[in-house]
Amino acid sequence: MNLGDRRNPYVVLGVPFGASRDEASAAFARRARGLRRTPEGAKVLPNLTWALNQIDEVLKKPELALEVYRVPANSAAMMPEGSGVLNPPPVPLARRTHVSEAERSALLAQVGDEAIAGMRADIASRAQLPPR
Amino acid sequence: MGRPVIPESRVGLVYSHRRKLVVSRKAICLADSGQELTLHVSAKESEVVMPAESVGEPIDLVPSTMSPAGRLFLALQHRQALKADWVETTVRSSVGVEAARSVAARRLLANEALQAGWTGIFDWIDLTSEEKAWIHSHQAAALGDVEQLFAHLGSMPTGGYEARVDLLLPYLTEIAADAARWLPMLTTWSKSEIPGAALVEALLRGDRLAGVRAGIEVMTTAGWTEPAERWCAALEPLSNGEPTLPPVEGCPSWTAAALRVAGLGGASIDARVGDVALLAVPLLDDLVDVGGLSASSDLDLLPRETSIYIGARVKPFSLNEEELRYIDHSDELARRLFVARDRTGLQSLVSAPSLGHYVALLDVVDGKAPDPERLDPSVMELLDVVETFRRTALDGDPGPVPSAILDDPTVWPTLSALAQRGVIPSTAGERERDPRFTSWCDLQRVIGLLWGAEWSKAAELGQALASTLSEEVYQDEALNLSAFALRALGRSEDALQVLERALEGDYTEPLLVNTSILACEVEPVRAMKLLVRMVDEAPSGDLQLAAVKRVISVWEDLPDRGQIPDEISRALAIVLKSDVEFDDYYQLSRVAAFSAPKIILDLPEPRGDRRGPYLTARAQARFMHEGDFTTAHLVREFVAVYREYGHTPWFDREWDSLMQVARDSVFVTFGEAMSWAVFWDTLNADGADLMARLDRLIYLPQAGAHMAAYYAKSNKWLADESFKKFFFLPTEEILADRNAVEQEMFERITDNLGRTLSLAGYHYLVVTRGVLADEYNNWVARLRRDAEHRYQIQNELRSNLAASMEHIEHLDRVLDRLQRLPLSMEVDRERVQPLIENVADWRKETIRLRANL
Repeated sequence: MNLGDRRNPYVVLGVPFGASRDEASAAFARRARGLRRTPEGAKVLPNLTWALNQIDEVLKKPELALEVYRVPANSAAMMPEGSGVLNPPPVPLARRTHVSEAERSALLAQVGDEAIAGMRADIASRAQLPPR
Repeated sequence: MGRPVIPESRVGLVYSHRRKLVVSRKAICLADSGQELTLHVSAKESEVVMPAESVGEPIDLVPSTMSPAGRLFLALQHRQALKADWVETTVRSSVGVEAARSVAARRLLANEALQAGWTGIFDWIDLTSEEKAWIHSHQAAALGDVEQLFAHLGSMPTGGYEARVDLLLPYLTEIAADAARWLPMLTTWSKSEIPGAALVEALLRGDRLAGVRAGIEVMTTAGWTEPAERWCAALEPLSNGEPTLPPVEGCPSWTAAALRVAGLGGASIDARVGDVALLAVPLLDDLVDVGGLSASSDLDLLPRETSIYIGARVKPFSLNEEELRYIDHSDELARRLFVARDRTGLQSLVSAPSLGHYVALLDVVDGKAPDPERLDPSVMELLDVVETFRRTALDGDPGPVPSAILDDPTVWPTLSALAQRGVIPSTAGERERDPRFTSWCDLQRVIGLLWGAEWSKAAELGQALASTLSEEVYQDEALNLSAFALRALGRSEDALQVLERALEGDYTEPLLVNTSILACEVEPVRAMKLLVRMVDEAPSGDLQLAAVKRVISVWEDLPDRGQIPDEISRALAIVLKSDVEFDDYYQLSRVAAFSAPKIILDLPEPRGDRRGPYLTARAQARFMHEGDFTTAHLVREFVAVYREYGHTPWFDREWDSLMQVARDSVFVTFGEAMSWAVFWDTLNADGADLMARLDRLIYLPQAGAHMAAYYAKSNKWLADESFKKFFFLPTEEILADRNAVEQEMFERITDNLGRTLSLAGYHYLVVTRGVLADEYNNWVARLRRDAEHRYQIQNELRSNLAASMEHIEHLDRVLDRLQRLPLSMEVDRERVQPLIENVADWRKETIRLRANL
């Protein structure tokens, strides 16, 4: 983008800084609607086309375009933070396994093995030999 | 059976026995009456009976804790080492006497014999086979030899020796590993009612709970109250299948099972994920279902697949896209695509049950009416409220904003168009109800004015708002928007002042960027400082790079930019040391080489493709910065880079720049561009393949002329070989191939040759003739006063004139080229003809002087 050009493509299209190509295209369509057949269309359309081209082709990484004024500077001004209908919270995955009775039985069998082994080891660690 | 008590006796102890005129001997005590000791010394001497108090202390040989018989036998083992003369049979006999005193004495001796490995003595001792089996068993148990323990216990009678089970307890684990072999013996003991046998049998059998109960009884019997109580407490829950934490360590499944029970009972297991990692996935799912595992848990402690699955259940936000696809959690993928407003991505998702809902929701975001056929009913209700409010607002009678809308800020942007048009009420009443919503509406209005290019209204409203908004984030945004409007009105200075207020306190990187943009227009130096700040604070390498490129661009645009400021140098160095792409590295290293050479000199040499540009930049930096790094060094560095990398776009660009400088630098008064003459000379020698033909034909002669003029200042002349490389070879080349260049260029080349060669010839003539003339005159003067050496002096004079002729012949070669070149009349008249005349004059003078000699 020519540093001498002070036009801001986002403001021209009426979208927030960093808007995606889809959003820019939609905004272009809205603003350009009906303009072609009007006198002011001849002035406005080239600007809109330039703006769309900038966003589409030039500003691949808008966050690195340090010559473009950010409007808004803080996206929270446009999109308040928090969860809601239009910013739904993460969706927990539903359970996919079956009832766990078989696994529970297997676990308890292992517990039994550990219990008796633990008991033997506990006794062994404490036992002392009788006198000769 | 108690441990045999060692009787108090000095039998078996060894004393030093001192006799007159004889060295002390070792005497062993064979009998102890209490008051008197009977000592045996040797066969030759009879036994000595001495009062107990006069024998002194025994030597430190046999422990007094051994039995008398044991001591006697042990002392006997050391007889030779002590150089004692005891009679073996006498001592052995005493062993027998002591052993025969009692069963206890024999048991003691048997234990000592087994421990010491005196198998012969053990077998000799008069004890029953059962007694010996018991002692053997005990010894095996003491040594931990479970095999021997089994063997010796197996040879014991079924009755008696009731402590035999105690020999097994320390080795229960090893015995359990071989339970099939031990159980028959234990069953026999149980039937014989050997104490503890039944319990140990239960401990070895397959019924785990019965074994634990038996173990508790063992503990209780042994008086181990505390562990018995712990096991007791653990037993009932274990029996009920709802174990509590194990009473001992080393039971991972038990621990996991207990934690599962605790989790199902309402406890959080988040801090114990490592301990439940071995649980099967359905069991972990049980914990998730009741909230025992939550988003706070560190699921990295689980196996990877399980971690992803459980993560998807408790903290889906923590999974990346690859993991979501791996687990096929398409609903979360769809949600994220919706949140990113990525319609294309959404439509490419094939199997997401919620896909239709999110696409319909995107339509709502894009301004369409909610579609109840596709949207989730829970969402429709709120969207209906929003839609109703929107319609009434458009009709001009919005009324108070419904609480449902205020409670869900995510739907506010659907009203942004209305807010931007100022349709939504922003009254004091609304502000009191929900200041956040009204602040948002107000800012939307300002943005709407900006997007409608109503700069004055936007600036006025924005600044007015800034003072009323309570949250700094909204205040700063109001100032930011106002500043944009002021800038659009051409009031960049005012805009900068407004925006700098926003930078007070907390600020964001976009605010910094905006301030730098305004500063560029008003105060570029300030803009540079802001951009350097961005380099320091940038969260990513890309942004650092962008900031550095921008600050350099601002600096380069300054009309009187001077030296590059230190802070920009520092920022440049930061970026050059990071992992930037090749093109950026090349561009920035070029800037550094010329504007901040020290940066390049301090940079480490990079690897890979950036090394080439680094080397050329370093050569340029050294040339700029190091006084002793000459043009010759510069050429050689560049040639070396060329030899390594060849004709790359970046090399060609650097080389072309350097060559242009070298070309421009020689068009000064001859003699004042010696360093660039050296450049061309070195290039011709070391990198001739990098010289274009025209450069060779034009700039080598220029270099030669500069050198000739430079040398002439110190009365030196250009060597004959130099004339050849600078002038004669180019002359021959152009004369032989005149049709290879266009006429205009041919004339330029020949004109250049004419001027430079004639100049070099002129300097050559003046200097050589002058030097030789001075020399000749000196010899002549000497001749006048030194008749004695007349002959030698005359020889010197002849040599001088011969040297003159050589130089004249060289000048003839110069004139030959000059006369063959199709020079202009002007050059011929002003430069060649005078040289011809001078050469002729010198020749004439030389010939005359020779004749006079």
